[in-house]
Amino acid sequence: MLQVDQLSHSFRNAQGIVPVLQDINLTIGEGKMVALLGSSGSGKSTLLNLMAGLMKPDQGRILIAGQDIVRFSENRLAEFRRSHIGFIFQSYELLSNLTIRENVELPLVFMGISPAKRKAKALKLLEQVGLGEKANLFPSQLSGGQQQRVSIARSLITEPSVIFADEPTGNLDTETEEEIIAILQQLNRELNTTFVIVTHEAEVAEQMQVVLTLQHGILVEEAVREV
Amino acid sequence: MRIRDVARMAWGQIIRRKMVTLLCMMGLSIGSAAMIIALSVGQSVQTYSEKTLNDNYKMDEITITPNEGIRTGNGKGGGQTSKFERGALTLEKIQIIQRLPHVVAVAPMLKLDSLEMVLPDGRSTYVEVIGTELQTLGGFGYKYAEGRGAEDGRMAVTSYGAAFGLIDPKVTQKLFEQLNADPYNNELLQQYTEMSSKQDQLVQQRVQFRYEDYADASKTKMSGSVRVSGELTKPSNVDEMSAQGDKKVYLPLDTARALQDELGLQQADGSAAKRLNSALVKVEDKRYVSQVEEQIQKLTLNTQSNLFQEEAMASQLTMYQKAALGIGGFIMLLASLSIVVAMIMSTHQRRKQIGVMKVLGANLWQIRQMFITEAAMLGLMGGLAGVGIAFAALGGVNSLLASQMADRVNGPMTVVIQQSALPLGIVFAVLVGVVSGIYPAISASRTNALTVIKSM
Repeated sequence: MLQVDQLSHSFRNAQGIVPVLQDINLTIGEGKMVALLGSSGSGKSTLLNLMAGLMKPDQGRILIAGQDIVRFSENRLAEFRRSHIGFIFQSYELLSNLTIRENVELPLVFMGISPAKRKAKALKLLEQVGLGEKANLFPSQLSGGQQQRVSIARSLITEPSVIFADEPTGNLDTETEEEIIAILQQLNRELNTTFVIVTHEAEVAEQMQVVLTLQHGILVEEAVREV
Repeated sequence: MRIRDVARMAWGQIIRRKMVTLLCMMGLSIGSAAMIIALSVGQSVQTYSEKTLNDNYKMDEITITPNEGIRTGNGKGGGQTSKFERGALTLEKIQIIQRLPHVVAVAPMLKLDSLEMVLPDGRSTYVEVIGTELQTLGGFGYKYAEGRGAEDGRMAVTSYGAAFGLIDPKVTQKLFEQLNADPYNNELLQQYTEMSSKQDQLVQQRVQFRYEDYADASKTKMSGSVRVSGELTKPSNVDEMSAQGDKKVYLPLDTARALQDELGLQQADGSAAKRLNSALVKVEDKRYVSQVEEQIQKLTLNTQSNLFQEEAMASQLTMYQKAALGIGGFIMLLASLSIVVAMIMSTHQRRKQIGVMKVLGANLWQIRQMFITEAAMLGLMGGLAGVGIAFAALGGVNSLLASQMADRVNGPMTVVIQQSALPLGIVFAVLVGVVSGIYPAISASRTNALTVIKSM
């Protein structure tokens, strides 16, 4: 379960302190697919980054698997992220010098898992996202949609309890976008993994079980849907 | 994170950025080679110099002389020598010295003046006459080419050089007169050279010794005859010319004292009859020389060894070695700077990659580990290349030395790469790599993942 209590955050710029998130409270149940919806500058990406432990909030608590990640040191946070959190980037962020399989394996490398186990697990996930035969190719040899599928496989390899995706379809065409969302939904059903997806597209949000709408840093709506 | 994975990722970066790798390796390899060469040259020069010193100066020998203090009087023995009895070099003291630890041989010596050794046919040459116990010569590495030393009777042993240049004085005088008149006559010079280098058979011959007082011809005296019982071999560490010039005759001590009496060489100080004027001590190893010297000095005797030659050489070598190591160190410093710069550049270029790794769960230490391993690998590669460069450079140096020092008695100096210098050079290069990689590694680990991912 993911719980956010009284979370506030602000940025400092030349004009002074700019509040980005104000008193956010939310709870996301296990195995849910959640959309963080909002226009540009609404604070949805900041909220996602805070929940993923990539930033420290000014105040508030973020509890994942019962642990307040706000209090963690950088190293402890890295360890926690490794075992509990997966991340999908808008622009995939695959390492160009590694093969597809090696990219998927990467989080397990940091966990010290043996090469044989890593390989088996990576190949299985690549099969699940439909890229089993492309395991030995390099990212530059794949299309954008395929690269995002690799990124999804990579986020799942540590079997995290929650996966954060920042505009995962933002760089893709409509057809590929649908394909990616379908894969995410399928994995959600199969693995019971929680997905928190940032999007500004209502069409994407409509396909999620929970839609959290942010406006000017305030959570204005929490809609639960039957998908 | 497994060591193999860290190494694989570091290696991936090294082969990916070939130019940076090459530049870093160049500096490190030159620095490492300089270190290896400095250590090897230093050690080889030291070994060669020690061998030369041992051969030329006999580092394991000590010369003992009486401790006569400061003499007063006319210096002809008429002074207050009786006050210095304690410092006399006697056979009793020699016996004590023979029993000292690490002493291999002791040769008591009664050195007479340089005397003219005369053969029955009148031919002669000047030799240094030394009274000693002939059986001790073997302990100092002397070997007999013919005959042997005998203590009974008026016997003598000659050095290799004593058998050369025995010429009739009248012939010599005539030749010198001709040369004075015609100094550039090559034929005469050739004739003299041939006569000087003619070897005679001295063993079993009877020889006499003449002491010539140039101030007063009437004081010129001839000794009784002495039979040559043995001839020593040419020393292996001395060239032919020097060996021919080293003319010595060794006599038993009694015979030497008898010669002193016959030739009027005895000092006016009558008490000197049982005394020796020097002794030579051979020590088991040169490292015991100081220790033995101290013991001998307790017997109120003066000692002299050639250790000071070694000390002088060691200080000079240390200076050269320090200079070479300094140059190597300076090159290493430059190499280190090149690694720091290259890796900082690399960190900058790879900051997005670092950010992604951090998001995927890499902690600070793992990021640092990757960069430090990369730097260590660069160091290792530079060190290995340095070994190759050192071998190539020293191969050239050895060829040069062989051509320049071919005529040396001890042979040309060869710079041998010290086995210990190889790992040292490599380890040093790796260490420089690691130390140089620390700052870039820390800098890389501090990369803000989110900032770099969003900004690129």
